[in-house]
Amino acid sequence: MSRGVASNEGQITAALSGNPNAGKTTIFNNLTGGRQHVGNWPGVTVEKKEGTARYGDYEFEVVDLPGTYSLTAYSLEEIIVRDFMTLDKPDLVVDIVDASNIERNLYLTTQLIELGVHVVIALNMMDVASARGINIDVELLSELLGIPVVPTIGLRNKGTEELKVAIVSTVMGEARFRGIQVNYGKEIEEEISKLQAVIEQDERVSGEFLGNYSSRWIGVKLLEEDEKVEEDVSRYSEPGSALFRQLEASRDHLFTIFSEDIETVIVDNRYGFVAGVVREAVEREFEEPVTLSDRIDRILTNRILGFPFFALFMWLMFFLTFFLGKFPMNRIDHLMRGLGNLINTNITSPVWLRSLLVDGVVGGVGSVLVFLPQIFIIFICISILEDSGYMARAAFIMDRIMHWLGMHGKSFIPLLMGFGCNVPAVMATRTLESEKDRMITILVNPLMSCTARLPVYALFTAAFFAAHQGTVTFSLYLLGIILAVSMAKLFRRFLFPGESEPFVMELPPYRLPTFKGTFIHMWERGSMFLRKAGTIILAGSVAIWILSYLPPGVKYGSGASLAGKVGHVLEPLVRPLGFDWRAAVALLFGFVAKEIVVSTYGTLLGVGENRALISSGLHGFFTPLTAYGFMAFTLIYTPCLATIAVIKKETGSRRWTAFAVGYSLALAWIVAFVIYRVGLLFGLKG
Amino acid sequence: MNSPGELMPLAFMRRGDGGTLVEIRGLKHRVGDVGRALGEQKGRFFHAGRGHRLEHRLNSMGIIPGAALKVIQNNAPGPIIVAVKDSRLCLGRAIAGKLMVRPEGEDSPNGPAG
Repeated sequence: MSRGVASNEGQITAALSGNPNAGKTTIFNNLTGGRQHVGNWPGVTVEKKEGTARYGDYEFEVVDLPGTYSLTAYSLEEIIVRDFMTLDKPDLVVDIVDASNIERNLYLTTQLIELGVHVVIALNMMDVASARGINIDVELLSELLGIPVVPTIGLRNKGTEELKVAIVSTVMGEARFRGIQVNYGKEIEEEISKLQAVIEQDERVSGEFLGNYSSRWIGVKLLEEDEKVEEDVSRYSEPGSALFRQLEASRDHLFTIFSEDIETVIVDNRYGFVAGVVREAVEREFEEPVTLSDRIDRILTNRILGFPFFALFMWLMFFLTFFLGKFPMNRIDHLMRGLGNLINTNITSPVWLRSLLVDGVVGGVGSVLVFLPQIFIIFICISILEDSGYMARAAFIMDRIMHWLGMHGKSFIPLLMGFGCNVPAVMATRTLESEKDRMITILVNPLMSCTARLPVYALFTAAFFAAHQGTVTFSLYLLGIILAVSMAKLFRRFLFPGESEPFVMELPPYRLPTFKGTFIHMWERGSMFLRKAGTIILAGSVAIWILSYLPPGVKYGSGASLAGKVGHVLEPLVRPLGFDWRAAVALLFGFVAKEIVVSTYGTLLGVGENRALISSGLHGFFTPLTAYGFMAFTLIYTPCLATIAVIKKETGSRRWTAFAVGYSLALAWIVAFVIYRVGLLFGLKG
Repeated sequence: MNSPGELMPLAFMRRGDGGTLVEIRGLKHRVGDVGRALGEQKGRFFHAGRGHRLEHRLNSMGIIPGAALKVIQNNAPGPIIVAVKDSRLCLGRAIAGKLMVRPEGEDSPNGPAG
């Protein structure tokens, strides 16, 4: 982490904050270019993005904070934002405000100002706003809020330089900065002042705790009954202290005046303040009661049409993946074969080195790399679904079905993302408010067939179901979905009984995804696969090669090799499913990453990268029946190592992680067993 | 049907209907004596209930009493899409049933004339 260099001469830390869907990520990318890295917030798994931006002699570190609507302590994201503001003390906060939804967005702004940090507004999506007839007097807005406001159009990279200028001049103290506070009215303001006075007098609170906060902010938060601030203050002040007594008195006093929650009054005042600002600085040329986005929604979220459209988009996603993916795939295949031949002809001795390179590296990694195009296409499709705003609609449409499963529509988004990769999908469950919903969604997520399973399907369907490749692959996806649904229902019934949390979700307006945005999105996820190919899959392939090559003198990849010995030990476990020792070895290594199942066969068969040869080789070990059972087993059994790691992190529980591994292994065995036995009953060859 | 001025849960409103949110029902847990007693027992501040959390979330997304709401889509018995200022929110049926709205005259079936 490069936190250490912050606040040096010429080094500025700027935090990006704002509502979800306000275009924060785009502004972040504009500011930092490619110079960014993604990590996690300490202790939690909310993604943390950091990058550097340059302006003249200044270099600043930009930290992308999670999107929030508010700064209460009701969600993890909000607490992260608050803690970062007060503990890490960025030099300033860039508040990304969606100009086309300015009133709701400024609600957060008032709270950022109240927190006592320096705020610069990036008034984003100015183009969308003006298309909707919303004219904003930027100068006046800046004056009314007492902070700099820079108009931007993130998607077209407009206003980025101006934003940098505003950041620098604000930090240098050259820009206007007054930070107008919300006035909560005479009664509340009086109590806030009283609280501020006792807070400042309280030696421990002001000495040890206050340093990071403004006393006004703490006063307001205590009146709002903010649990986190109460907890923090409780650590420094005992019940019965002047602070506590004043707080009780203030709350009682205000409660008798307003006879409703003080919290509600405070919220009202904030919105009132914002409404006042908007009335002055924003002019609407015309009221647009039904936007284009609404009109699209009339069709796409329609009770009757919604589902067929959703099915169509899903079909399109898989069609593009398999159809378009084929062309570059053949080219990579050629390339790999060429590489194998090149090594074969140029490296003649030692024999083991040639075997390692051709069978181990090219055979193992190459057989997986072939699927790179398909994996990238599926990630592009998922990015488009997200960036266009359709993903939220899918959640809306699927809500009724998810409801039947005891969850709500939002749980559907991580499941859909699971078709790409289960790792980001499991992380995406963060948006679910209910812990139970989250656990169920995490546990069933690995059943959504991710791209790592594709190579396995492709290899086996090509070898055994050449005429019906598409149908068979589709049936496996369907099997995964059916199992996920059934398991979710079971888990809800027996492990996490109870009602699901209320369903509240913002629907961003439909947007045409930009090429750049989609590309960045796709690259962030797709490159993970490339890294995986270069590390885990490479290591796995080499390990299998060693096991197949040793002990010296043994026939490569035969039953007498180490791999064969390991396989024979495990064989009794998979014998009832109709699998042989090679399948046992492949599945064993597939624990690490499912692609390795394919590379294992590439390596074991010693035919390297040649898919046609692998296919014909497989006919010695499988019948169509056992091949199908094997694919089903690969789909279901044990999430890959990366997914297990992320499940462990997200659930924070070793027990549930072990459960996820255990139940899927048992389920895989049962399903493969049923497929095999039923197939035998119907007279299929085992 | 409802006469104008009468409150109606958002869940019952049809596509295109609008109105003013008057009350979020059944979420507010008033800071009562029970909570206070509990708080004192633990030697800590007293707290309101869990309903607050949801109300807060709704508030921060613009759903506050007095806000003008308009139904964009109502897929009963599924969720509902509602317009609040410039944003569109998807609300589950359960919540939509708790938002009490005073329907706007012109869109209500019984209109101002009735």
